[in-house]
Amino acid sequence: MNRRLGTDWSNRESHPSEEDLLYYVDGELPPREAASVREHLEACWTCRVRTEQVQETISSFVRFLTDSITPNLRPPASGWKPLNAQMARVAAEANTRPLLLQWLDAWRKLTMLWPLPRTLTLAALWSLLVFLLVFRVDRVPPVSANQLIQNAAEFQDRQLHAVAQPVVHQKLRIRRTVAASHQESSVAWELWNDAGHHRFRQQAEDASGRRVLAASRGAAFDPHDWTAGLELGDAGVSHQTSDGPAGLPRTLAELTQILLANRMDPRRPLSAESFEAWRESVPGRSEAVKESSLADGSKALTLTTEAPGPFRANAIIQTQLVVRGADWHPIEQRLKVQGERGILNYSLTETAFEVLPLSALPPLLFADLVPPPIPKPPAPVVPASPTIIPPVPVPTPADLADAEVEALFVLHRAKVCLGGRVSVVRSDADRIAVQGVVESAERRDEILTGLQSIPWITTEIQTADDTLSPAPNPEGSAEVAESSPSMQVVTLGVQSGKLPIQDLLEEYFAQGHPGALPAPGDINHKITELSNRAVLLSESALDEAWALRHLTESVTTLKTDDLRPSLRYALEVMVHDHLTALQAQMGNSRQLLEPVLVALLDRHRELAVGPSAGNTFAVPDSENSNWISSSHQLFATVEQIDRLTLALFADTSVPPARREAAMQELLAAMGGWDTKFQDLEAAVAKAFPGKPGSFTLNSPPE
Amino acid sequence: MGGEAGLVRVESELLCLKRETLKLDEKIAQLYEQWRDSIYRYVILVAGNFAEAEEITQEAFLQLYRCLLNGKEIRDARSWVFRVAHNCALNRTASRKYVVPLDPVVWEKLCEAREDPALDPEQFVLEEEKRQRLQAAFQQLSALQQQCLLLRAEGFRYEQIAEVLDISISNVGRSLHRGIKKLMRDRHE
Repeated sequence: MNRRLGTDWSNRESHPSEEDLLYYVDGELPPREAASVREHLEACWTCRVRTEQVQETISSFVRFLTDSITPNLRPPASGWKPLNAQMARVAAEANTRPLLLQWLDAWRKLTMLWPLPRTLTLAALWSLLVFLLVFRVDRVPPVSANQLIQNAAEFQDRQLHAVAQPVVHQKLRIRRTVAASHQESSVAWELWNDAGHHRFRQQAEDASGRRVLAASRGAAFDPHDWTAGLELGDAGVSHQTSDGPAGLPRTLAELTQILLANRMDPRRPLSAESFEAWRESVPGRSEAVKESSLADGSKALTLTTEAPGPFRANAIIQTQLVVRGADWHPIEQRLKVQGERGILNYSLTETAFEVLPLSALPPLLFADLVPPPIPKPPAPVVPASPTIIPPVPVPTPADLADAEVEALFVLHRAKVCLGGRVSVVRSDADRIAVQGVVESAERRDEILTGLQSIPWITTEIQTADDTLSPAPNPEGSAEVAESSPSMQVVTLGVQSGKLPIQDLLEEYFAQGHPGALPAPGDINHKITELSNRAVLLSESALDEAWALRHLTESVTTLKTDDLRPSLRYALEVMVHDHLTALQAQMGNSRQLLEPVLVALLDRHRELAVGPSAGNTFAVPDSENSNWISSSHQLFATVEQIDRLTLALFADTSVPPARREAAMQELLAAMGGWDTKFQDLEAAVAKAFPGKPGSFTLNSPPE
Repeated sequence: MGGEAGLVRVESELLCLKRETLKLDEKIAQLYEQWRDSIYRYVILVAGNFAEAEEITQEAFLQLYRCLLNGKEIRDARSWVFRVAHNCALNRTASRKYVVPLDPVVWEKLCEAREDPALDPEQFVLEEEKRQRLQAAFQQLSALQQQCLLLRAEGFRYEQIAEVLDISISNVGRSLHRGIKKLMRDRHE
């Protein structure tokens, strides 16, 4: 019997069909129908029995699958092969497959989603072949904007990785046109970018000769360097303050300011990364990718991105990024910019590009950049005519919050968020400072590279060697050491003296509790092993708790609702990672110490540990759950556990009279840990309410 | 059977980390660990394809990875992967005529009874009889009815089943009802 849609079953004249009852038990009926069936079942015994029969059949079927089929269907005999190697192959193939193969891939995907009869498949393939014979097929495949940017970035990345200590040398021709007056000016711009050491050199050339402009070192970009370079005339730069016939210094200074105002990177003005940085900051943009031919007949792709208005001064209205079809290399970028008195057009055309090893360049090129940069006085920048040179852009609080979370995430992924060796602080009203000490120059460079694309960031990251050099920053070093729990120097082992519980542990291990009897000479070794592991676990847990507290403190000063959704997710990921790690460390610590401590206490005093030390389940007090207090309380508990662990297992100066109290306190603190952790988990769940079950794997939410 | 716990978290991370190929790899690898067993089981049961079940399962995940790399939008990843695995399994089966859906001997092996210490001999015989009746009834269902029942048992809603099998929702309901009806009848015979 078919379903009768919209039937009201609440009257007892007619009965729902068996199919209706199946829909009902599966929760697939519309709410009104479901309600009427429910009402009917309350009144009708017969239908209730029929429903039960449907339910019983479902139960038997599920039992049949889970009890009989599933246990006999084991995974592949040789075990599951990992997917990683194949994914790497897919990623590598994605950009290099010929057009014909890409079409075949698309066809395969199509038939996977919609299986077609073989005759139809053959007919379609035959048509495709005819099409290929009739039309040329060596055209560059059109791609999405995202794919184009990703391919260009990956290609450049591969170029950089192919050379040791790569330096990007690029020559550009900059043309500026004022739309209203057709006034045109141009400048040749030459750039050297030492990616590994964050050093940058540039020079411009015009009719009056070669001009060396500002150089910079470090990941953070300081616009003063550039405009000051123009103004101070490092090597003969003219002091033009108004539009001259050539207009060269102004052209470059103005372009620099425009790039900065639009989140682009003036050190890599023609690059996929710089373009993407602007593109990401433009919600509601419209984009199109078109094929074109270059002068030499080769193919190119042009990505045109238009921003929605209204436009403030210096905002980019439209960009066109042209990449070579053969290798995705960006060769030209055209900008249409809103000036204060009309539209400005810029084109950046590449005339030369090469990636060179540092050793192949003249040593003098970056010679003056080897020592740390000397802060320049706040020299006035190019005297701005009110129409052209805008002030340095000032970030909004939301921009700063975004930058802060992005920086925290970079540190988190580099795993330097533990122990407070590197911290993220608000340095002033419009900057976020990332400062601290790392173990090596490679580590520092890795972090600086991660931070490079984040706006409004200044960095001051030293290596351990730097801090030992004769002229360190004493205030900075002291601050870092003070704020870092992992900087505490802990003497492990029992070599220099006796632990307060040394004799108890000796007796414990001598009696072979809980495993096999150790040889007498092994007892000290076992005690050392236990102590080292206890201290190590406790210190690791403290590091995680510290990172969690620090993250919490940073986050509570931000308005998380104003964060970009992707950064809220990043925040959630960080918190979750620390919670998981902390729970694991503390679980291991308890598993290691609780049986030992209970045995030692039982041996000397018939002491009941009390309910708090057991695995009692405590319901979190959601009323009082909040970020700050929960994380502080948890940190205090972990800190207490760490202090007591050190006192018992690393400190040889604790008097034996205190040891029993210390053991009891440690057991009680470990017992109370569950409640504190659940409180924090509840607070986290409140701060990051779960999303509904459906989800979309599309582009990141912006 | 679902393994849905933590799924929303994984998907959220995919959203924010999708652009980073490395992170996308990790997330796909996580999904692979979560879902591969149920997909592998489904491929064997609907297509009888023991030999290629692992390869088909992997291929489905690689397709997911490829699509996400290309910036494609996928609304419901689990249904999508099942759909690709389903079609892949049937395509391969169709192209090799000697492969047929599970034959009775294999079924027997798959459904081999296991000793249950909780049951006394009399109960065991009764349970075994019921199980054999259910197995025989299930084998007599049409392929579509079997597929609908297996997917429903994997926790898919009617709409998702319709998407996996590329049929209408009412067809899903009808197939499930007929399947349940046959099982019910044979169970009470």
